[in-house]
Amino acid sequence: MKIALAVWQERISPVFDASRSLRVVQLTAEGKEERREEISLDVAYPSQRVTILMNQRIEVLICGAVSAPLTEMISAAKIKVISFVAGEAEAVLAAFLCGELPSEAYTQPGFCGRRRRCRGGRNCQ
Amino acid sequence: MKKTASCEHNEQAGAHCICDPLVCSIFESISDGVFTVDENWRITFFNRAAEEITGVGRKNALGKTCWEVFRADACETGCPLRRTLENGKPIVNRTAYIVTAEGARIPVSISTALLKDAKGKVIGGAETFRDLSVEEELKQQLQGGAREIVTHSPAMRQIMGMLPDVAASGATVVIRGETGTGKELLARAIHDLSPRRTGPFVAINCGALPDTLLESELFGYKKGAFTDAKTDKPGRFARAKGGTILLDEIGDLSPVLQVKLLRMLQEKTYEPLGSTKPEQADVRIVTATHRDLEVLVEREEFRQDLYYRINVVRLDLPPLRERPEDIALLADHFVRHFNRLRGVNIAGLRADTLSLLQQHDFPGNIRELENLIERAYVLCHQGEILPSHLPSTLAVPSSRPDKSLKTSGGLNTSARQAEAESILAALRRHHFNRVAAAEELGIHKSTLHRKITRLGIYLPDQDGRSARRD
Repeated sequence: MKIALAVWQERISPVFDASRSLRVVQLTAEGKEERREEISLDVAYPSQRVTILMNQRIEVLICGAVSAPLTEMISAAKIKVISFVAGEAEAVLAAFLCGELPSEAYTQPGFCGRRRRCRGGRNCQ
Repeated sequence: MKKTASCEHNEQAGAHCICDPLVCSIFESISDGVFTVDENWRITFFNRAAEEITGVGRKNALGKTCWEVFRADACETGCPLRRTLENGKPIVNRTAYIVTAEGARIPVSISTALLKDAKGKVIGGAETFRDLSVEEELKQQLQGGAREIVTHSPAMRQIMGMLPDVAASGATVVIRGETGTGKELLARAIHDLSPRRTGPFVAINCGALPDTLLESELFGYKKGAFTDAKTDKPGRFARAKGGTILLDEIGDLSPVLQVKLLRMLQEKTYEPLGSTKPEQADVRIVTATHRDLEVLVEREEFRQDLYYRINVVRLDLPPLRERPEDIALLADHFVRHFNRLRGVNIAGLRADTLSLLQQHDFPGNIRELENLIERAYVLCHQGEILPSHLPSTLAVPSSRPDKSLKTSGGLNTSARQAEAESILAALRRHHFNRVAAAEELGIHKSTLHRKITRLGIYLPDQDGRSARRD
């Protein structure tokens, strides 16, 4: 399986729509890291981001905030999106390999860990 | 002086409050979002408007790095605040967009400045941002309303999945769908995703203009081509140069214009009326129709060679009645749209209003739903949209066949319609008193209740028991 993390300064890039670099990690059948490579996402159009993910045969994308239309396109390409993730890229990868994503510890503020906004809104702890 | 909510939250979050209560009170009262960061990019102040625009509460925001909270496209490349902290110069009204928790892109205008203490020492930066959604919405309205495609439907998701490749290919596209299904929206999406996105998007309805006028609109004319042609006029193909042209209702194109369009597609050139020199056509063609082009070809009303020329990629937009899962989503989308446009704050649709909409067939599709919500805004000024804010015709049960009873076909639907109408008429005669209506119909009230549920008859909140006239 191949997964991809949108990375910026060794952290998860805050907005996938504008992120410039992708860390692609090939996993073994046992879920261990086999090899990795950095891929440029310096492209002009949202469709090109999806095309890169498809060409790389990515199955799971781990990224920060992502706009709804782009999420739809990525999902339609049968790529699982774990979005609104925050934190150090290596720690996030480790959490994913342990089956701990999505998790509140690695979620951007304003979320409760899953793909929904905190019900508590402005006053949510 | 009394502490403000911002000061208290700062203290609770263990952050150093950088301003005095008076300044805090001012920042709390303005409609622009304001936040400040320390030298480590941690948020030290976050005002009320910043909470509202980003959707992140200040308790969550304080102490976090600004890019995790603000989530702007500019964070990673060309952050205005970073530039200000590097060179000391403020930045005013730099446009960007932020992505909210719901995945909406909100256009914002950003201004930045250095944050200094009383001794003039730089202790961080301050950023103010203004929500430009209303301005953008109005701009889009003026430009013909390019809005996002809102859907959860598997059929639509399949189309969305194809869009990147379709857009990148440059191939001619036929979009087929009933009226109001969003054919132009899809054409715009193809244009926006394509390498031609920086060029113009031009749409023309081929069924709306008489033949001669359509020809001059499409191809343009030269001075002296006809009596009133006093100057050269570029056509839509010329105006769409470098971009995309949508030929809507292509099935209504006359045989003469079909030939001209075919020649243009084959030779990539066209001649304006009165011109002797062909002009290069640098335009991507997207066509749309609500008609079945294959049937038109069979009837020899549409040229087969043109059909094969334009039918390189075909996208079929499903009608709204075949994607009922999108009704709630779209209704919510339009509520947000009209809230922004009219500056009001309608909470949404009450459950029974939504239920009523979900029973409707929507022959006018998404446009009809949008019009229904817009109409509701005329009557509804606050709170939720109620069934009474919708047209009374929606109270008549839907003609959509019940899947469980579908085997009987059209006759069954007519019988159901007749039964529903007679029940509704009896209910109205008795002011929606169900017992009295059941008595008149000669059935038990439980039977009536079952029929009401099965036939999808909408009843108002008041059940008429107080109005019963024995």
